[in-house]
Amino acid sequence: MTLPVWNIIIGAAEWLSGNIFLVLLSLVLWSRLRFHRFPIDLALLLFYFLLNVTVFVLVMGVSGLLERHIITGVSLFVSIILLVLYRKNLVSICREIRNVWEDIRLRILRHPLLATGFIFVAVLVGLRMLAHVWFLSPYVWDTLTYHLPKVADWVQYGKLVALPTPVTRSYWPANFELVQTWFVLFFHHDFLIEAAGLPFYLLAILGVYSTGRSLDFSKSWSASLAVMYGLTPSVLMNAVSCKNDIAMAALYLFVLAVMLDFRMHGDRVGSHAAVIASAILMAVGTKPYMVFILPGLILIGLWCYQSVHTGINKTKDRDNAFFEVCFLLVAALILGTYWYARNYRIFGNPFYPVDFHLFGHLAFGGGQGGIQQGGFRWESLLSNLLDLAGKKIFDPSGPYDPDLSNKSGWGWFVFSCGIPAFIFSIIKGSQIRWLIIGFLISLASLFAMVSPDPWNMRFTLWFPAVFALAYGLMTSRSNVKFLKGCLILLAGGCSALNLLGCIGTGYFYRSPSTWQSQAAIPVWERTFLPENIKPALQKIPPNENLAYFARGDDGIYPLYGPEYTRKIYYLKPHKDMDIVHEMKGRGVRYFLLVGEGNASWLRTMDNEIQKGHMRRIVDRLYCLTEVGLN
Amino acid sequence: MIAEYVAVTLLIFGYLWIWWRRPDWVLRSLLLAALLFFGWRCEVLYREATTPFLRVSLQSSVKGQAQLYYDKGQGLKEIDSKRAYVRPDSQYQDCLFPLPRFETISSFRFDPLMGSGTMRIREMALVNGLGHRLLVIDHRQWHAGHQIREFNLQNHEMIVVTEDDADDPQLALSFSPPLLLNWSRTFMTGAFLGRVLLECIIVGILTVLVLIAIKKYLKKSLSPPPGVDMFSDVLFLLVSLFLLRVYTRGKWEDTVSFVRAWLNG
Repeated sequence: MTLPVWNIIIGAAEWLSGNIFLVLLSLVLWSRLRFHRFPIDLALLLFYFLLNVTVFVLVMGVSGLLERHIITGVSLFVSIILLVLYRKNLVSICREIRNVWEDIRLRILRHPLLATGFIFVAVLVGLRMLAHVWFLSPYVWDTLTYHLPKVADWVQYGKLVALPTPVTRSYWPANFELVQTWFVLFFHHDFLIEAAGLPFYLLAILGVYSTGRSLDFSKSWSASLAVMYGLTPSVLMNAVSCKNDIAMAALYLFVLAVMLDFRMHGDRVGSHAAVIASAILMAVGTKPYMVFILPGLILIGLWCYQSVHTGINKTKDRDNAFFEVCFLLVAALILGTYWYARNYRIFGNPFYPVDFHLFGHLAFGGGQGGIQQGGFRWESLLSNLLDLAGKKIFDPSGPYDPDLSNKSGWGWFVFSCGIPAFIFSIIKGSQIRWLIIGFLISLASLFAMVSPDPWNMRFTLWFPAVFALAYGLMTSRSNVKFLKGCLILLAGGCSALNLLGCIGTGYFYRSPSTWQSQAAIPVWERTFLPENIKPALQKIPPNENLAYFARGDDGIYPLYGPEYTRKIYYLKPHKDMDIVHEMKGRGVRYFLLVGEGNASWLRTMDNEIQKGHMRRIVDRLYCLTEVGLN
Repeated sequence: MIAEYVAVTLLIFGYLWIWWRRPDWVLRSLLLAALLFFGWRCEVLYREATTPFLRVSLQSSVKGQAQLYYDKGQGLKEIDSKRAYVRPDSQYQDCLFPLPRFETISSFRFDPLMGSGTMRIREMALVNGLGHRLLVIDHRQWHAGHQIREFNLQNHEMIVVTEDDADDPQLALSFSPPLLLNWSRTFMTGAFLGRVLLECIIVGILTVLVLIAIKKYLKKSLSPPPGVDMFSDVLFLLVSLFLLRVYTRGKWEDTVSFVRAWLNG
């Protein structure tokens, strides 16, 4: 199997045109609605870009126009209109960006040693990310089970379909999957799909940097803290794992940065509020736990608002940004509500497949319970806190992995430098005390709302930022140079160890030999095949569609193939089911039992084999015979 | 639920309010110490509330030892057993056998005595460390095994008579499905909340008493001592180094495993 060169070139060109359109749109929005301060404006631009990507894919998907050539056409057309209408604005923005770049260049020349250090770290992290994106196909269990199959379906059908699936979690909100779709749609191949997390990773780092600046830390110190946060194993591992928690962390930290920017400068109330609301809405449509961690952000927001009203300046919003604010809020509202509205339409429960309880009463759902708790429980709060303090914070169970199984993934820096800094900051650091309380309330609220399970620390990727900020405050306050030097050295060493511990992937590909074997496979053919279905999948022609049966915890994404050439159909067992008829009705010849086939399926297949309708090719794989087809 | 949430939120905010509104470092430190102590006690109580025990309410004719084996799915082992002393008494006595938390148990073997004698068992139940009953085991689930001469159920009691020359009499019980010893989601019982409340009151009273004593007798030394900032920096570094050591013990091998494997080819 090869991906033709012309296909890559055309795909790349189309993707570029799509990105140019979205960058232009973001720049136009940005030119009218921003804060005129470098770090937060840079984060804001990135946020606009991600919001535009998400909403563009959503709109095209809902309209049934999710097709690469159509998107390219639309992108080119709208790009030209934007260039004509906003030429002056865009030229002036380009000039501004050039000035900012000049400023950065001068700073690099002025501090060559520090700049070399940052560039060195950026190159190392970049190489690590590149290796993971290029050499590994998606391998994390829940991405294979319910995140990525959606992406494959959307790309295949050209619209946001919700097909029958054995995994009810497939119906959870999926803004991040829309961004992932943007990375695969133009190539019709998933070789870049892990890279969808990288812009969010960057946004999270920019959020911490901007927060540091708003807390009056110097530029280089804020950048160091952002790097320390960026090297946290849980964050690093999740940046290219295809999981959507990195997006949640990025949006949480971005909202925090905007709030603190407001506290610092006290201007443009409306713009700040609109951006905060849109980021929160986008996060709600990415994963519902944004609502759980919101109380902490609200507290921080109130603190920022109260602090600003004790003085400082009152620059007003631009009067002519009304249209942009409306666009932003409407787009965010769509992103924040679409998935819930769809679920309500299909299942009568916006939070499907979770039962939702309000004040002890069942508000939505069938009352059978669900995969997640769907309500507040004191027991969960205490159990999760004790689990964290007594076990997960030590990261005891093997190397770091993206699922964070029985570990926090907060790593070396948080454990040795972050925790004492956190405690000392509560006592001494009046500057960030409310920030710490806000983070703690978010964490407590989250813990009270999610089931105590081994993997729930993946919801807390945003939390280590407070350790970095607390460490930054405590160290910057130290008056004894020697002690300060020791603390910086310690933090640097711990961050280096964090990076070292994240070269592999935790469970799969955790040794160089597994990477070598993976690298030996051509990039176009790389796909993570679970051992139990590997022999079967190798027997099916790449373009041949497939019917399958799987349970709720079987990874079905590899069935599509890396180029999404194979459509797959879930056959839900029911009484009086005629499997041959069902397969013929869908035009498929092959049937695969993913995972452990249950006894009734095996009996059914034996019956069909005896009747001569089907034949067994290898274990778990069956094919309709000529008799069956007729 | 809302009332509880509001009460705890008010408590936390009240606490923090006192802490910050009063520029008194003695009060702050004392409150922090009390908070930490209370947090530690809550953790201990939680452990007690989620640690299961088999409580056997029994009456024995002879002095001896009872032993409980629990099978964690790997067969019965001496290491997975607990012993309790039994005294001859006409009154019922409770013997407690601690069980592992969060384990799955497929069977029990109960050796009532190490010799000959009679034992009347009134109740066998799983309880937590605070005495709260988690699960009552039906006597009918037990089966007489090795060196048991009589095994009768009378008036909700189990009467076990061992053989004359018995040295290892045994009763057996299998769980189908296996029993998961996890009560982490239902630990918040009245007993637990009562103990937490009681200890909260005690800690609160002690804190106030200590504060009064300090205010009365150490009035002059209430201002922060000189050099406290440098001291806190040193403390910060020392704590960081200590924690680094703790983390290194558990995580060093995992962290360098990839590079080590790479270097070793």
